[in-house]
Amino acid sequence: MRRLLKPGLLCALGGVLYLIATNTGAGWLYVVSAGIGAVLLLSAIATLWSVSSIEVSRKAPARGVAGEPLPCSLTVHNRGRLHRYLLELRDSFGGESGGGVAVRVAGGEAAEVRYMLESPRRGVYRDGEVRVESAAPFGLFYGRRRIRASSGTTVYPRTFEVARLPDSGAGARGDHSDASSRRGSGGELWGVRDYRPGDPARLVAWRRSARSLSGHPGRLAVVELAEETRPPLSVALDLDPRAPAAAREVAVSAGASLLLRALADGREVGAGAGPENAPLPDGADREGVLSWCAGLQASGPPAPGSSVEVVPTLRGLRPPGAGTVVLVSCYEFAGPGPWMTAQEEREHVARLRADGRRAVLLGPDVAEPLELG
Amino acid sequence: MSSLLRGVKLRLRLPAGKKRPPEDSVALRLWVLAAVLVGEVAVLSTGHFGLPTAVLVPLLTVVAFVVSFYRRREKNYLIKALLAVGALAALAVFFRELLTSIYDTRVPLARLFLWVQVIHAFDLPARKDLSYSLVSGLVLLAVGAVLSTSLLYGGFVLIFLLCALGALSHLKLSEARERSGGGLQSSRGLARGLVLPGFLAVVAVGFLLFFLLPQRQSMNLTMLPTSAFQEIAAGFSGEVRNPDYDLPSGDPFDGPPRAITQDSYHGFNPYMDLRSRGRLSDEVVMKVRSEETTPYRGVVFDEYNGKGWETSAGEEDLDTLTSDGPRYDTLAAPNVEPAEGPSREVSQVFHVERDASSVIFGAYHPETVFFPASGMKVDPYGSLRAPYEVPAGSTYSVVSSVPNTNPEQLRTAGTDYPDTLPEEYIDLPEEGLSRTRELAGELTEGASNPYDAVSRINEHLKEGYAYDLSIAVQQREMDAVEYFLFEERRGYCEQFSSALAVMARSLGIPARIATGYNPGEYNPFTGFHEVRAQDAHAWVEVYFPGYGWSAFDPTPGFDSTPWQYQETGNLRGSAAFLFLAERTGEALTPALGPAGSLVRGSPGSSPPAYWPPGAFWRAAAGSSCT
Repeated sequence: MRRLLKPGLLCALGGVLYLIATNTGAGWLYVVSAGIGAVLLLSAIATLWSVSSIEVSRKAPARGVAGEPLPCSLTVHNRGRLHRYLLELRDSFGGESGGGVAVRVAGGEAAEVRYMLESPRRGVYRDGEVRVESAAPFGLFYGRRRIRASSGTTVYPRTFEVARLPDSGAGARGDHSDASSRRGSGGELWGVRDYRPGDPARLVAWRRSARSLSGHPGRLAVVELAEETRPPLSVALDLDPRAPAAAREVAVSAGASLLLRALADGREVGAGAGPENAPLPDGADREGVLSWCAGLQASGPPAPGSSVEVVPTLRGLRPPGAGTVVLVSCYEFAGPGPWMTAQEEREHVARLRADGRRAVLLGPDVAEPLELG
Repeated sequence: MSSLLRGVKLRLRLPAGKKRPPEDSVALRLWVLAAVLVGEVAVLSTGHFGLPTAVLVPLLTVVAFVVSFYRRREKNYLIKALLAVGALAALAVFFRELLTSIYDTRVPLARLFLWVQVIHAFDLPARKDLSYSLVSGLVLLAVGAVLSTSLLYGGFVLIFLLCALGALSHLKLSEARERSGGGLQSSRGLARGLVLPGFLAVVAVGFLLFFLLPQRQSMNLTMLPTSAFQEIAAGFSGEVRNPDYDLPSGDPFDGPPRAITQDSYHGFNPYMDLRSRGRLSDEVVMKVRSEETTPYRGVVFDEYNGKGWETSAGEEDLDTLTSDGPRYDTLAAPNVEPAEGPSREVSQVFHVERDASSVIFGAYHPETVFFPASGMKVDPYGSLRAPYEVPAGSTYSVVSSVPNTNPEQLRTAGTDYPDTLPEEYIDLPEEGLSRTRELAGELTEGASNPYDAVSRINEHLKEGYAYDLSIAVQQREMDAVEYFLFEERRGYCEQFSSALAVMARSLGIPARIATGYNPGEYNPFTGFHEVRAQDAHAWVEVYFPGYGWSAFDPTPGFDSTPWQYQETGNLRGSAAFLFLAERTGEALTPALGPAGSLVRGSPGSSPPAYWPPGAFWRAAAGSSCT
C-alpha cells in the first residue's frame, strides 16, 4: 500500500490539474495532465516488462560460519533483446537477506551484483529465493518476480573456545591425583587379579588362567583395566521448537564447541539432538561434527516422564556409564520452558549420575565444567 | 528571581524526527535543479513578472541548490530560521498583492510559488526534500500553463518532462542504493538508455492521451482575469478610436474611399465604408479563451446611407460605467437594449496581442465585464468601449448572455415589433435601392414569417454571389448594395451583410450590421482561439419580437446562424491532430516545395496541399474572411 503512495499522489495531482483545466479552459493544463497520465501509464507497463526475461544465479562460498560475513554475488542474465535498467535484487539466503542494484543489464548479457550477508544463520542451504524488482523507468510502480537460485552453502554454527571438558567421575571422587594410576574401564592394562564373581567374561585372561590352571587349579584370572584418561564425550542437545530460535542456536553452538574440544583432546564423541535429527555419525571428525551441527533442526522433546537422555550410551565395547554425558538444553539459555524446568533438568542430571554416569548440565549459570571463550 | 534562575540551564530541544540520510548523488541534484529551473523560467516567460524577479529567482535557485549540497550533513538551524522568515515575508507580499488584484489571483499566486520554491531550495539535504522540490517544479509548470498564451510553452513542458523523468529515475536509483546498502553504483548510461527513450515514449503516449482526453472549455469561475487595474480620468467620449485610422473632420463618405491598412479592420470605426476593403494581414491580434466558438462582436452600425454604415447612437446615448474594481455589470446601464428571450451564458477571456482600437469585444449580449480600468462605456446596442485604445498585453473578460433560440421559435415570433424599437433599424435611403427592394420581394414571396424571409435572402446571397477579397474599389457612383448585387456580383463580407440587412429592412424587418472577429483558429494546446487581423468580419443582426437580436451571416463559407449553439464536443483530439498536421505541413514547406514541384509539375502548388493531414485540415476548416 505504501508503494502506491507515490503514484497515487501523482495521479491525484494530475486529476486536480485536469479539474482546474476544465474550469479555466487552460489548454496547457490538459497537456500537463495528459503528460502525467502518460508517465503513470508507461510506468505501470514498463515495470512489468523490466523484470521479464530475467534469470538469476547465485555464487556463494561452500562453507561459512554463523554470524560471520559471507560474501555472495548474484548474476543477472538478461535473456531479452533490449536493455534492462534499475534491477533491484534482494536475496533471501543463509537466513539473511542481502542484495544490490543492477543499474543496467544489456540485452543478452549478464551483470554481477556483489553483496555481503552480514550475519548468516547456521544451516545447510541448497537454494534460496531471489526477489527481482524493477521500478524502471520512473520509480513509480514496481514490477516484481521471485526466482529460485540454487547454490550449496553450509553455514556452521558459531563455536567458542572451551577451556576444559568435564572431569571424569573418578576425578570428581578424588581418590587419586593421577588419573592414569586409577583402575577403571579404559582400554589400557592395569594388572591381573583373581576372578571375582560378577566380573564380565570378556575380561577373563584366558591364557593366564590356563597357566594358573596348571599351578593353581580352579582359579580364574581377570584383566584389570586402567581408568581412561580421555573418556568419551556424549552431547545431548535439547532443541525444543517452542524455545526461542536464538536459544536453540546458542545450544547448538555450545554443543559444537564441546564436541570440537573433545575431538581436539582425542576423545571419542557422540551426539544426538532429538527424534527429528539423526545422531552424529560414528567416527565423525571436525568437519563431520560441524556439518552435523549445521543441519540440526528444532526437535520436539521426548514425552514428559521419559528420559531426556538423547544419546544415553556410546557405542563400542565400553560398558554403560563410560564417558560423560553433557546435556545442553536451550532452556538453560532461554529460561524455564513448558517442558522441563531448570530444577527438573538438574534432577535429571542427578539421576544420570546415580546410574553411574558422569553427567553435567551446560548452561550460562554453570561455571563448571566449561569456560567459554 | 535571578537567584531562582541561577544555575538553571535552558536547553532548546528540538523534536527528534527520523533523520533522513543526506543525498550524495550530484546527478540527482542536477536533474532536479534542471526541472525546477525549467518550471521557474516557464512561469517567468509568461511576461507577468519584472526583470528583478526574472533574474533573481533562477539565480538564487542555483545558489540554493549549491548551498543545500554542501551543507547537507549540517543541522542548518540558522538557515532554517532565515528561511522561515523568508517564507513569512513571501506570504505577506502575497496577501498584500492579493488585496490589490482580487479579481485575478493567478499572478500573486505564481509569485508566491516562485519564491517558496527558491526558499525551499536552500534546505534540500535528503532525497525526499529533492522529490518535494520536483513536485514544486511541477506545480510551477502548471501555474505557467494557466498563465501562458503561447504555443512556445510546449517547449517548456517538454524540457520539464525530460528533466523530471531524469530526476525520477535517479530518485529511484538513490532509493535502491540505500535499500541495498550499496555504494554509489555508476548511473552511466541511465540518461541515454532509460531517460531519453522513456521521455520519447511519454511524449508519444501523452499526445495520444491528450487527443483522447475530454477537454471542456468552460470557465466556472466567479472572477475572470484582467490585467493590472488602472485609474482612468473621467470624461472620455466613448467614441470608437482606432490607432490605424484618423477620423476625418467632415463627412467620411465624401470623396473617394479611403485607404485601408492591412493591420487593422476599417469596420472598427464610427463608420464603415462599403466601397473598398483591401486585404488584412495574418498577424495575431487577440488570443481568446472562449467557452463557445461564437463571433466576438465589437461595433454595431444601424444607419445605412448608400455608401456605408454609421452608428446613430451619439455620445449622449452611451452609458458610462465606473467601478473601483475591474468588474462591471451592463444591467446597470439604463440605455442598453435588454436581452430578450432564452439565452445561455458564455464566458470569454481576451488577451490583446497587438495595439487595438478602443472596442471591447465580446459575444452578444455582454452582461458582466472584467476590464482593468476604473471606467468604460456601453452603447445602446450593448457594444463596449474602453476609455483608451487597448494596448498589447491587456487582458479582459466578458460574460455574455448569448441568444439561445431555435428556428421554430423565431418563426413564431411574428411582426409585432415594440414601439421602443428605434426607426433606424428599418430606415433605408429613399433612392437607389429599387432593384434591391424588388429582388427582396421576389426572394421572399410566399414566406410566412420574417425568419423564413431572412433565411431565403441569406441562402440566395450565399449561393448566388462569389466571395472575393480581390475586387477593385467601387467604380461607379451608385448605391453600394446595388453595385454589389447587380454590377459586381462578388465581394467581401461587409457587402454580403449589407445586402442582407438592406433587403431585410426593405421588407420591414429590423436589421443592423455588426462587426467584430470570427472565433479564429482554435489551438488545442494553449486552449486559445488565435484571432488574426484577417479574421475581422461583418454579419447581420435581425430583430425578432420576444427573442431580441439574432445573428445571420450571408457570407459564403460562414455559418448562417452563428448565434445558434454548436456542440463542439469535449474530445478535441482530432482538432489537436489536425492542428499539428497543419503546422507540420507549414514547417515542411521549404523542404517539400521543390519535391512537390517535381512530383506534380506545378511550381506554384503549396506543399501543405499535398501534405495529406494539412489538406484535410483546410477542407475541414473552410475558408475565412480574408
